[in-house]
This record gives sequence, C-alpha cells and structure tokens, in this order.
Amino acid sequence: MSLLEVDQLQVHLFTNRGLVRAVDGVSFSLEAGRSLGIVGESGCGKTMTALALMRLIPMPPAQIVGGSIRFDGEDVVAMDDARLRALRGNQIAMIYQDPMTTLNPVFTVGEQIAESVRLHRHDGRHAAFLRAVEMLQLVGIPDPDRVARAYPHQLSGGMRQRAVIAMALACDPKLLIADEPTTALDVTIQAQILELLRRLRDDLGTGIILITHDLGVIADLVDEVVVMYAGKLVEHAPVRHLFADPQHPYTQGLLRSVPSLDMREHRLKTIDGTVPPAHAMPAGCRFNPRCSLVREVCREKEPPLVDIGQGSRAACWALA
Amino acid sequence: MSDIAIAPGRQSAVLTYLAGNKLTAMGAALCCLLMFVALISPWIVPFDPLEQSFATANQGPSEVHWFGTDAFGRDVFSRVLIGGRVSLSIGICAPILSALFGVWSGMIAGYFGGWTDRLISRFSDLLMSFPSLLLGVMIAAALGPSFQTAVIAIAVALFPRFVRLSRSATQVLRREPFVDASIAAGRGTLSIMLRHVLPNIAGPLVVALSLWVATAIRLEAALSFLGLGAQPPTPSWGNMIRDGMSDLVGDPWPAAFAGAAITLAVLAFNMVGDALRDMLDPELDT
Amino acid sequence: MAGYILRRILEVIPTVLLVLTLVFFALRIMPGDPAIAALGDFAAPEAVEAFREKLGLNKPLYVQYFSFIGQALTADFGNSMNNNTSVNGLLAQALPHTIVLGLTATVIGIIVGIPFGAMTAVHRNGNLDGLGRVFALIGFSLPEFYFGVLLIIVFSLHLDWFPMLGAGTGFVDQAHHLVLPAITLGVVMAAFVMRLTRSSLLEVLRRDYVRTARGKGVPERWVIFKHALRNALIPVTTGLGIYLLTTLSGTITVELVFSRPGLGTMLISGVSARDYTVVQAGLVVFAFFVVCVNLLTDLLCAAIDPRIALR
Repeated sequence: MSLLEVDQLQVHLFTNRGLVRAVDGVSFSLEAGRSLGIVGESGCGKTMTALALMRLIPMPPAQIVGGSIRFDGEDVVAMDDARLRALRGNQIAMIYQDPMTTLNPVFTVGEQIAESVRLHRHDGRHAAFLRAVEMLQLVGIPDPDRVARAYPHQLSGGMRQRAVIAMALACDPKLLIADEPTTALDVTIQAQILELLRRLRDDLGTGIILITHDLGVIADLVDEVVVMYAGKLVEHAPVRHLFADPQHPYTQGLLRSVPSLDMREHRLKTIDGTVPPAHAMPAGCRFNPRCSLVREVCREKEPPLVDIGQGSRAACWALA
Repeated sequence: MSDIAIAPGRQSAVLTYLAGNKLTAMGAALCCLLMFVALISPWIVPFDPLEQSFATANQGPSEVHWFGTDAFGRDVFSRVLIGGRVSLSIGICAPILSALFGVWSGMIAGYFGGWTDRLISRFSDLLMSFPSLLLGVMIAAALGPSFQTAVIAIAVALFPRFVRLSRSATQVLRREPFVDASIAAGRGTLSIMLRHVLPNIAGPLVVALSLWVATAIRLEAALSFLGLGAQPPTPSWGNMIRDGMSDLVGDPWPAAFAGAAITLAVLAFNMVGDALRDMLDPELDT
Repeated sequence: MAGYILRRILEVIPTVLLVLTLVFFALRIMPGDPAIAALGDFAAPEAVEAFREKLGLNKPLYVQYFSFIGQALTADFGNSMNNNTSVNGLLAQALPHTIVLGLTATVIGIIVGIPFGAMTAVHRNGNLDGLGRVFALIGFSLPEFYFGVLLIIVFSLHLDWFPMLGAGTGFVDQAHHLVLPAITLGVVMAAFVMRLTRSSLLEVLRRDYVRTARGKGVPERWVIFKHALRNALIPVTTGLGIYLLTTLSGTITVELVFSRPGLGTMLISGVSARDYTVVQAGLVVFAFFVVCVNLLTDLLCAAIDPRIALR
C-alpha cells in the first residue's frame, strides 16, 4: 500500500467569470520514504493539488468535486474533521511559499512549533519547548534557544523558512509537502534551504512532495517528477528519465527553455503562445494551441495518460 | 492614496450603481428630499414655528398638528421643518468651510514640506486627538453660543480630516517630474497645485464631505442640545430636544420627532457616503 | 520596550503644554467680563475692580499665563467665581460620577461588541450578520442623547423600571441610577466596536498564518480565537482608544439627559454662568484625559503587537 494515492482528483474554482477546473483528473502515488516533484508554470494547478492533499483549499471559491486522496489507506476527502485535524501537522505537514507571512506575528517561533507538539503529542509546555529548540537545531539554526524565544519579524527570511520547516517536522510526519519553499528567497538562501531538504530527506526518510516551477530545483532532490499543465497531468517519470528524454512536447519545451551557461545561441528559447485563461480552456488537449506536433485529434479529444515504458506515463496523442 | 477622479464617463456609472442598489438609492433620495425640504421650508410650514398659544399646548399628534404641539403651543411639525433648515445648513456649511481651509492647508503642508509641514501637521494632529464634541464645546465656550459659533466649532473639529486628505495627495504629486518641469517653465506654485491636486482628490473629497456632513449634523445636534448652538427661539433639532426634556412626562413629542429627524438625516448621509466610498475607492480609509 | 515607553511619555509634555496654552487663550477670548458675570450687572464698579484684582485679571498676560500653567500642573484650580467654593472640591465630587459612567459604558461596549463582532465575522452573511449590520447602522446614526431620551420615555416614564434623574445615594441606588445612562453610551460604543472587530477579523482570516494554523491541525475554534482574534484585536484596540474619547465626550450630553452630576454637567453649567475658573478646570481635566487615553492606547498596542515597540 502506498503512502499516498491520488486518483482522478478534481478541484473546481467557482469564480465570477465562470467555472475554473483548477485540477482536472490528476492521479499519482507516492511510496513511503520516496520523493515526488510537481512541476509546472504558475496557475497550472500544482499548489491547488498540494493544498487539496490536506483539504486546505479555500472553501468558498474552491471545492474538491471528484476523485480520491488516500493517505495510508484512509480517504482524506471523505474523512471527518476530527480525523483530518489529527492528520494535519502530525502525519502530513506542509511548508509554504512565503516565509514572511506564514508565521503568526504575535507568537514566538518556539510557541508556534511547540503548539504542534502539544496538540498531537500531548506534551507539557516545557517538554514541547525543548522539542521546539531541538527541531530548530535540526534545521541548522544557530543559537536555537534564542531563536525559539524570538518573534518572526526578528528573523530573516531564510531563518523564518527554516523555522517553518522545523515546525512541519516537529511531529515526525510521514509526508512533507513543500509548496515552492524557495521561491520567495534569495538565490544563496535558496541553495541552503534545498541542501537542508536534501539532508532531511536522507536522514529522516520522510516522504516529500516538492512543488516548484523551477526545474533546476528538483533535479537533485526528488525521485520522480510530475509535470502539470493547465490543471492536467501531462507527464510523470523518474527524474533522470525526465531530464534525459522528456516525452511530452510541453516538457520538452520547458527543458529547452532553461538557459545554461554554455549555450551558444543568442536568443532564449520559449514555448510559443501563452497559457489560456483559466475559465476558457481549449477543447481537446489543453496544450494544442502551442504544440508543434499538433494533429486533428488533439483539437477534439483529450489524450489519456498512457504508460510509455521505463516507469513513465504521458498524455499526448503523439505517443499513444 | 487613490487618484481616481470623477471623470465624465463615471457619472453614468454612479446612476447605474444607484439603480442597482436600492438601499443606497433610498438614502440618496432621502438626502435630496431633506435638503430640498429644508430649503423651501419657510414657505411650506403649516404654522408659524414661533407662534405660541397656551390653549393648544402639549397636545399629541392630531389632524391639525401632525407632530403635536410643544409646551408653548407651537406646532412641532413646523418647528421640525424650520429646525431642519437650521441644522442642515450648519451641517452642510461647516464641512464645506472646513474643506476650504483644510484642503488648502494640507496642500501647503504637502507641497512645501519642512517646517511648514511639521507645524501644520502637528497642529492638525493635536486637533484630531480631541473628540469632536469636546472641541466643539471648548470653542463654543470661548466664542459664546450662537449659530455661527456652531459652524466654526464643527469646522474646526473636521479641519484635520481634510488636511490629511489633501496633504498626502499633494505629497505624492509633488514628487512627479511634471511639477518640477512646471516650475522650471515659470508657472507659479499655486496654479500647479490647484490644477493637479484638486482633480486627484475630487473623489475622496466627495466621499469625505458626505460622511462628514453626517457627523456635522450629529455634532450640531449635540451642541444645540447642550445649549451651545443656535439659540431659542430659533428652533434647531438639538435644542428642541433640550426644551422637550423638561416636559417629557406630559409631552414627549417635540423631543421624539426632533430626534427622529436627526437620526434620519444622519442615516441618509451616512448611507450615501458609504455607497460613494464603495463606488469610488473600496480601499479608501477616511 | 522600556525605551519606547519613555519616548512616548516624553512626547506627552509638549502636547500638554500646547493644549494648556490653547485652553488659556480660548478662555481669554470668551465674550463678556467674568467679573460682571460673577457679580451681576448692577455691581458697583469698585467691587468689579476689586474682583478683577483679586483674580489677577489685571496683571500682564504673560504673568497670567504662567500662573495658569503653574496652577494647572499642580492641580490647583482656585475657587469658583460664582459661589466661591473650591473648584477642586467640585471636581472631587463630579469626577467619580463621570469616570464610573465612562468605565461602565466601555465595559458594556467591549463585552457586547467584541463577541458580537467576532461572531458576525465568522458567520458572515448569515442572519446574525444582517442583525449586526442594522445594529451598526442605528448605532452610528442615533445621537446618544436621543437614545437616552428614548430609553427614559420607555423605561422610566412608561415602565418605571429605572429612575430618570440624578446619581442616587448608596451603592445599590447608585447602581440603579447608572443603568440607563451606561446602556445609552455602552450600546453606541458596542455598535462601533462590533463593526471594527468584524472587519478586522475578516481581514485577518484571509492571512496566510491562519492557513498555517489549520494546516497544523489546530481546532477551528482555536484558529479563530487564539490565532486570528489576537491579531484582529490590534486595530480594535487602537480604535477603542480613540473611541473611548468619543464616549468620554458623550458623557457630557448623557449627563445632561439624565441630570447626573459629573464633569460634563460641571463644565456646561460653568459655561452658561461664565464661571471662568470652573470652565478652566473642566477643560484642563478633559484635556488631561485625552492625553492620557492616547498615551495608554499607544502603550497597550505596543504590548499586544511586539513589532510596534521596535520601531
């Protein structure tokens, strides 16, 4: 039994301008201790997918309308609130994109980490505080005792993000979901955080789902990659295969557009066109207006996700 | 700071919005009605508001006297109408007066900066730290109670709000390159400020005026209730309640109707002000 | 933090001086000769002159100014011009009534306003929210003294549940006399506090750290009352501080409505009697309250939001 099984997940957004199928039939699974990267442009639905895993999506405009999410065999979508709360922060934990707004400004960092511990492990105040300091040390924060007594605004962005990671790991979760953990940070700090995540993956054996739009970030960090476009899962492959031999035209375009230092061309390569507006998706394959391999069938029917060997799957009529 | 001005194309948007939102439309209609009635009240009052008649004193509402009579036999309805004229004129004149001085001072403060700014801002902040009624009482105490005193007192209380409004807008505009260009071209500072700042603050100014008219009406009522505004026998809504206090047991009608009128007027202007604010700039903080 | 407190207190000094100066000049503009006002129109010129001499009204302006400042700072307000009783004595009698009224109204405002506001934010667009909106609208438009009059008409005159005049004697009687005036001011304050709490909480509930709390498995009630509300109360506290002053000035009219003794009554009767010293004292004390409340509000905010003290 996998740690996490997502099957045909559908998250819809009900907006003034119409229905947005933010996540439209996404399926993947994750084994315990393995790591998965979810890659795609802004607005492709990767954050929604991540939030859905803990039912954290904002409920008035958004809703999980279909599919299932099974964590350790239990259906997250159907479970009652009490069970969900027992899971959150405890067996599944999340770290978020913007460390400047993720922490509550009126409580100390230590209090916020300790809260998780007291909630799920029923530790006393002192024991919980010690655990908080221990976690801060784990994530490489110098002088963790002082930092635990500090308020978020007294810390730098990098430190805050480490604290958020410490908070997520406080109860030894089986699954850590990292939603663009480095996007809001400086490049040098980014590298440090990624190094931290790598070390944690190796030392703790936590399952990791890493969401990012930056291909460079996932190369060293994950075992498998899922590529999303406009709410759909277009390719799913082990990381090395994805980089070495991408199958879907969108993935190929993405990889081609990553500049490298030994490039000889003068112009950056881009994918023609833009992502269509969320409420007005094209018929058939959603990538078809921008695809160089487009055929008649692409404009009419959505391609199914098929197994293309070597543990990979892709959704493209050119491969079926 | 918003720089939405009311451009001509927006006027139809105003009407469209009003048409869509019934409560606001009612409020706006009420405001117009009140102002109109206040304007023509001397000509439509059924009785002379000052005419006393002990024979008909302390009556409740009837066919002849719609709102009843007070302790002196005066027709309450007529007094409410004329009182409305007094209260509304103070309530509208004071914010306008305040805006004239306030916007101007704020522009000077924002444009010149430095000590001028500090002086004006400090003074303005000090005024604002005082509750409006208290300021009004202080000024009325100093100047002696009268209609004019009430206008001045309320204008002073509202002054800082308008200073703030125009000061921040002026400061933002001051940094624009075209200002320096205009100065280099030899244009006087006055014309620059007027031509550029005024259109920019027009929207927030209208919202501010509308909301502060509501406050002004309320303040005027309180001041004349305390005996510090328009003096009897001139009726104003506030002093009608004051006079009515001594006879509440026998004749609560003057006080009740005058107070209801105040509430209605304040409500109407508040609704319009809120609606204008939602329409012109939802993030505006007056 | 201690540095911030010190700074704030020091800032008070020039403000106080400025205010006292304004009060001084305000009174000097007052129309009418205070001596004649005190002694009557038919007083003999010598008596008037003696009176003026006694009160130091003939001295040069700057001398009067400094003695006024000195008096104000040492809380020596002299004697009432009208009946020669000690103004300090009058103050001592009047102040407690005003303070009790103001405090009780504030407590009512907070106890009713904050929970009401929080609930209307959480159950947004429900029936409770609609009720809240009506309540707020009425609270903003109804003049507090009119509300008091209405309460008197219903609860005093028709139902005879509460007295309509004065402050009463003895604890229970005083409490009985306090009910209607306190409700008058308290309800208006509650409307304001409710609206402020509601908008503040709605704003905070959209923040990321609320999502973080939920993501940790924090029960929803804690999310709202521990994580969100504490942040939401920061602007509420500032607003409350400012509104406290409005309530304070509201006591002036409410005391008149209920014929209650208090600072407001003292001030207003002093104004109509042209009693210089009484008016002076009343204005100075009110001004003092204004400065104090502003200071306390700032300090309280710094205590709740640790970020402020570091600026």
